[in-house]
Amino acid sequence: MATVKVLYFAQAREAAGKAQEAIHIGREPTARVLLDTLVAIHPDLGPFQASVRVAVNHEVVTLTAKLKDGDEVAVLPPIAGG
Amino acid sequence: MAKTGKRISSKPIVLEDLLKQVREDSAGGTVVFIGTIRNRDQGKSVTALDYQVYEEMAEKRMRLIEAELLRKWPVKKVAIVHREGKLKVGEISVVVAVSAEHRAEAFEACRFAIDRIKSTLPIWKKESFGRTAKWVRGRPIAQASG
Repeated sequence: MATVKVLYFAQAREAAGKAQEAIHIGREPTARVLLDTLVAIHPDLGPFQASVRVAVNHEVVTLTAKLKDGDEVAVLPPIAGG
Repeated sequence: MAKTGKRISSKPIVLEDLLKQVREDSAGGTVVFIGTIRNRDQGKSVTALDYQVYEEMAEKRMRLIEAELLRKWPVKKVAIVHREGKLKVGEISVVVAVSAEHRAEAFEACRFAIDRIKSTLPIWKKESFGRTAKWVRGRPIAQASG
């Protein structure tokens, strides 16, 4: 289990209704489980689940990545900078 | 002045500051890319753009882009700044400045940098068309510069 800090950006921030929150994951804390948990808490995130990427401590990870206590996890919709 | 580090700025970008950063006696050429807000997108009139930035991750990745330029081309100095917050049409959103001994590498490295910025930085923009606003459709964030 792990308690992580989740940051939302762009469309995901609007869907979640907040910029960040602490999330506790009881069972196997992977990025995939976290995303499923976030969508369960904020159903408006559902349409974005397939297109977001996840960053843990500023590194993009795959959904099998294991999370640990204190990790900063960011939900990143497709980017459009420059 | 930037809000965090020197690479993400919540205030208008001052070009002279960037030219000063890359000034180098041994450089014979400096190339500067300036990105600005266009007044039209998808056939509609753009009135403003609001940039949202994941600052710490963007700073890290901007440093990686600078390091990659210095490694891949014989350039002298590199400076990159990106805006965050609300911008009007015509305002500068991003600048890449590269100084080098000769122009060939300055052009190549600068081009590479802006392409990398657009494909790897955690930055999003919401376009306003009068009273409606829409997030610009982006591309999945790519792996960072190696």
